[in-house]
Amino acid sequence: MNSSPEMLLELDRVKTYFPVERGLLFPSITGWVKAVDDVSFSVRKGEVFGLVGESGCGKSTLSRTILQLVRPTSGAVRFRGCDLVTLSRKELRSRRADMQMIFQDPYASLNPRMTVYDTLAEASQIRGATAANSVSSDIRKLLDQVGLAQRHIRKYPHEFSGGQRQRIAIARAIATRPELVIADEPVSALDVSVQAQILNLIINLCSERNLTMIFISHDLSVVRHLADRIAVMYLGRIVELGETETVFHDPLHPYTQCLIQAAPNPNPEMQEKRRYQAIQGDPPSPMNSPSGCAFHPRCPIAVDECSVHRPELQPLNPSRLVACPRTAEASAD
Amino acid sequence: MDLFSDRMKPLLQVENLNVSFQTRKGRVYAVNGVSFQLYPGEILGIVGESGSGKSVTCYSLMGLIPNPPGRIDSGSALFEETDLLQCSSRVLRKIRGHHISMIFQDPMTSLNPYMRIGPQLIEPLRIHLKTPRQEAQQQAIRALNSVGIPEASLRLRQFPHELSGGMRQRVMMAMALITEPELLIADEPTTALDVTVQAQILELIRHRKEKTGASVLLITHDLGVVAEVCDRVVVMYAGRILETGSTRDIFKSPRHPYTSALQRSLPGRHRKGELLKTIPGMPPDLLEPLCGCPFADRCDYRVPECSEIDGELILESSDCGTACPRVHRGEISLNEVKQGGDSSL
Repeated sequence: MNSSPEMLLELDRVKTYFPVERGLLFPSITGWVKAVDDVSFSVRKGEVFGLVGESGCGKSTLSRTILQLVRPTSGAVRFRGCDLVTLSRKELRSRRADMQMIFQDPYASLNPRMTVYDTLAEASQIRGATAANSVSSDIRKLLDQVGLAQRHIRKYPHEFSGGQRQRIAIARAIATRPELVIADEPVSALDVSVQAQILNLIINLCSERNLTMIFISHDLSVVRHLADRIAVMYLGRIVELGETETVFHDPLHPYTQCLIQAAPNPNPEMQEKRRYQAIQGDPPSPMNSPSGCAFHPRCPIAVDECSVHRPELQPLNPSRLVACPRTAEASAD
Repeated sequence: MDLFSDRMKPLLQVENLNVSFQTRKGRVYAVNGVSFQLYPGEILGIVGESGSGKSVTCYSLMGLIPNPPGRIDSGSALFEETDLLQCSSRVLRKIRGHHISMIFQDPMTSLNPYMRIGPQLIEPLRIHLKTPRQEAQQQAIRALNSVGIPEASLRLRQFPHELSGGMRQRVMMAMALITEPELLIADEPTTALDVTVQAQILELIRHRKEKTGASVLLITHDLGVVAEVCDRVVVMYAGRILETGSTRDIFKSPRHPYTSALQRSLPGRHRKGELLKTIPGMPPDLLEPLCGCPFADRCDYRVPECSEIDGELILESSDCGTACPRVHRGEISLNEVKQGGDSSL
């Protein structure tokens, strides 16, 4: 993969495996969970990159691997051209301010013993603001930006509702003035009306601060609304990648098709037009993933060959990659 | 759509249900004057955001409200001549699990982790119908097959932790349906599941209804799920019903500002990257008895009168109603929600 200047983040054949150990006294490794298996993609500066997939497909492990919260088994994660995998913990520390994360559960990700002020002050001090008055003016600006009233500044996380807590978590993430923000299911725990407020906040911040964002969600309509490009993951691998609208209009991989069809649509009229057969079976465990294409046991168009060869992610055109030789052939005809 | 009401007597009739909980900060009025009917063979959806009282409503029907701190202040719930809220616990035990069953959001916590699937599954049969063990086993296998679980006889010997989430929820459904209840109450049955598995479970619920004609009361916060399976919808907010009507009407021409605002805030209804229409503010605090319309503070169509009305549902036909007197009088017309085309997946 060529390193081009506008790419902020590049992943090159990243693998994150977790050992499965048996035995209490003398544990031996009996297998590997391939949480992230040979994933490569790059994220352009200033874009929102959506990552979708069902639970257990490795999207959260992938995001943690990018931030080096989990070290990959192999592969390279280049952030502004510098491979984070080779950096020591100490060297990483200085770079972490550039890469921040927003988690799903804002209560679990905020320190319950720290007030809003303490939480945000800690983050903004990392960027060198040390004088007390500059810190507090920073914090006031942050609260304004995320739509929290100044009077909340001395409160603790438990005094806030879920939506407000997520605003604090977002304020903390942008306090270090990061270039890359990874949002891991930031609105999944919120009610519909609050979800819209937080999504708007994210849209505004991205455009105001020219943030690059990796947005992880299982909710397709949310990802479709925000993301410029999306990658669909299944069992640790990317099965399809492309411009969001193209993928949604014309999904090529059978899994992407199933996923889009299975998403409940809040429009009863569309429902009646589309009586589909739900795909059978559950996502398999990443501990013993099926041979060949991991999706073949559930795939409606699988042939014998699919259980033998693992399809690679193939470029159809410069902006579209699919890991299914059968659909790639069909669309080339 | 008066599809059901003309011909049939309701299977379940809830009248003026009021439930409150004693907390350290005071009494929380969780459900206020809720009334609805459920007809045989229909799927009624109760939608609302968290804290809207949808689960409490259904838990009180099943006698699952812990007292204290909970208390059913008033109301009745007639299920085939029996008032579920007044009857003795002996009578309720006979109805529960036999005529009414319930499935919950999290299948792991509602299955007994120490028991194999088999004995759990046949428990309702053994208790309610006194079915001999051998025959119950056979029925259990059929029940598992009917919810799409392969190798049923093997599954009967497994423990809940050996099954995946979707599989567990299907076991729960098999267990709930094994006595062929007239009413199934499903409390967020697919919230903990993946979309592809969710689609399977919804398909199952729909299929089951078509086959056996059982009624389903489906509690959910997901408007997509409602559109997918429900015949009729009850929209709850702050412990009250704000609107009820057929699914098609609710989505196409909502009759309450809250329902329409909620739909307008869905990302699928917007052009890509556009700012979403939001509902300002937060749901009201239920610590004090509400006066006026509970949605008044967040409503775009608010007038001074809104804080004085009693906020009760005005029935416009036998099963369609709105709690907004202004909509009822035709003073405001909620914009038809834009449908179809690009906005949908």
